[in-house]
Amino acid sequence: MASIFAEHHVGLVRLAFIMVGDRATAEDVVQEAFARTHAGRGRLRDAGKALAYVRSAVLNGCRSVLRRRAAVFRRAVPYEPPAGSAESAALVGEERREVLLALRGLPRRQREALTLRYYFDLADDEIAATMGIGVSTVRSTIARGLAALARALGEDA
Amino acid sequence: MNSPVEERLRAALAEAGATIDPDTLRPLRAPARGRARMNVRLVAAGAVAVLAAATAVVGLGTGLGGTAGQDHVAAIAPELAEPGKADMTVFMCSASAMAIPEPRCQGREATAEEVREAERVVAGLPEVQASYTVDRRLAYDGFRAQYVGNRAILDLVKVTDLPVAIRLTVREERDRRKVEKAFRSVPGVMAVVDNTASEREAAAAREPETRLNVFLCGKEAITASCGAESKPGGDAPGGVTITKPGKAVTIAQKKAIEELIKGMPGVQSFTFEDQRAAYENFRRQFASNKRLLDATKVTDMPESFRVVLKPEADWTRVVAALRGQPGVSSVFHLPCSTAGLLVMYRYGLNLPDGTMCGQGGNNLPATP
Repeated sequence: MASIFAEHHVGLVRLAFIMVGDRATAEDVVQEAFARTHAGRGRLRDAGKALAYVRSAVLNGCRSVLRRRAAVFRRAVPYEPPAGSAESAALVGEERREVLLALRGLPRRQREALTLRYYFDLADDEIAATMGIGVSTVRSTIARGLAALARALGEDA
Repeated sequence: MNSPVEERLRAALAEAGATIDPDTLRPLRAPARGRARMNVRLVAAGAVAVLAAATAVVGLGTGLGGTAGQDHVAAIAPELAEPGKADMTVFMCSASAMAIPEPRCQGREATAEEVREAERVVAGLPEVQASYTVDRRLAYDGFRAQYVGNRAILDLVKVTDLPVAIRLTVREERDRRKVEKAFRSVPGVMAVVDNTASEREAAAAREPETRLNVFLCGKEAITASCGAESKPGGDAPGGVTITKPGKAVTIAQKKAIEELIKGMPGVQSFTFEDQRAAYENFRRQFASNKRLLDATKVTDMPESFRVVLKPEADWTRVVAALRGQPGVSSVFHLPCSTAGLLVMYRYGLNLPDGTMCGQGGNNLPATP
């Protein structure tokens, strides 16, 4: 298990980073997942499943971070860009931020499935194993997620 | 074939992922009781990180000694303590209610260690020519000096509201976006702003005539004044989801707005800016930002009336009348908006709307 983490450390931190949005937390999440799965090492016989297992552990860590944060920010006021002009409003919505914000606005399952597909290029069955859902659910979740993202970004899917 | 959304998503995720530099990751630690040996590569990565840190310290040392080739080490420039002289500013997290909203701060103050870390990042950036860290006491002094005539603002803002700021000058022709990018993953940083544009706008706003920008509703408008509905959504802090987009301004409404402006006694002159003209201005302003330009289409730009008021005109009445008009998305009174922009870009303060010029909000969309 340790070698899986070693080989995929950067990728796992990137996955967590995309999910939680800041690097320090992302590193903590991966470290925690490492510490937790470390305890259960040896129990996992099928090496082919180890990576999916580790990714699930990281995703789970991200979910609990986001839950904790949601509780903290529930009362926060929606952020209005301090725009003096349409030009600066457009700057706030810079390409990358706009897409990531839209992604963050999606329901958790769509967000996770889209990240695993479009960042990690995982196949349907790999995504299914990582998220613990069925393969057909993965397909429909990705389709719905893309459509929602397209709506949010004002594009054709 | 991939759809545009898939392309954009892929690009955005790739860019987000790329901000994690493998060479700077904290090595994983095995749990204390675990007996498994750590992977050799992990330990090696840790060692490399330590080595890199050591090299950086040596580099700094020789740089201060004046050795050639170390000119990327930013100089310390106390003259930047004076507001309005910086090219860019890094604001550290502040727990003040008037802080720029940034989820990463989680409502807490940056620690002294985080400030030092940010200073180290600044010192290592080849784009930065000089820097100066302005603590809140110093920032507050500058703030009070600037707003000495504005009782309301001085009463509102306390020394504890001001964030610690690292003010920078950037070498000519260097890419400022690289500076902003370098801080995206540094903990305790609230915002990185480019001061050049806000200082230029502030200078322009000293012109005698008062200008209003009246933006019209576009298709898929997101402001409530255009009929859009939204709810707080997702688990992104402060995020909103548009549940129903608004309606674009109609030709009849545009005509009515134009008639209204024409008939106002306080109006000195006005022009109509269509999407094409707005896009041209936008392109000129952001010529150096290719990604932004690529992502923006002519049809993304809002139409607007640009109104110049007579010096004696009561602008609050003009603004109120225009805000109530169907098809108007938002109205900006430029002197107020600029003042709000300046207080944010110079001091990292997000003051309540209207604070900067007495009555009425100035950068809120019109209410329906």
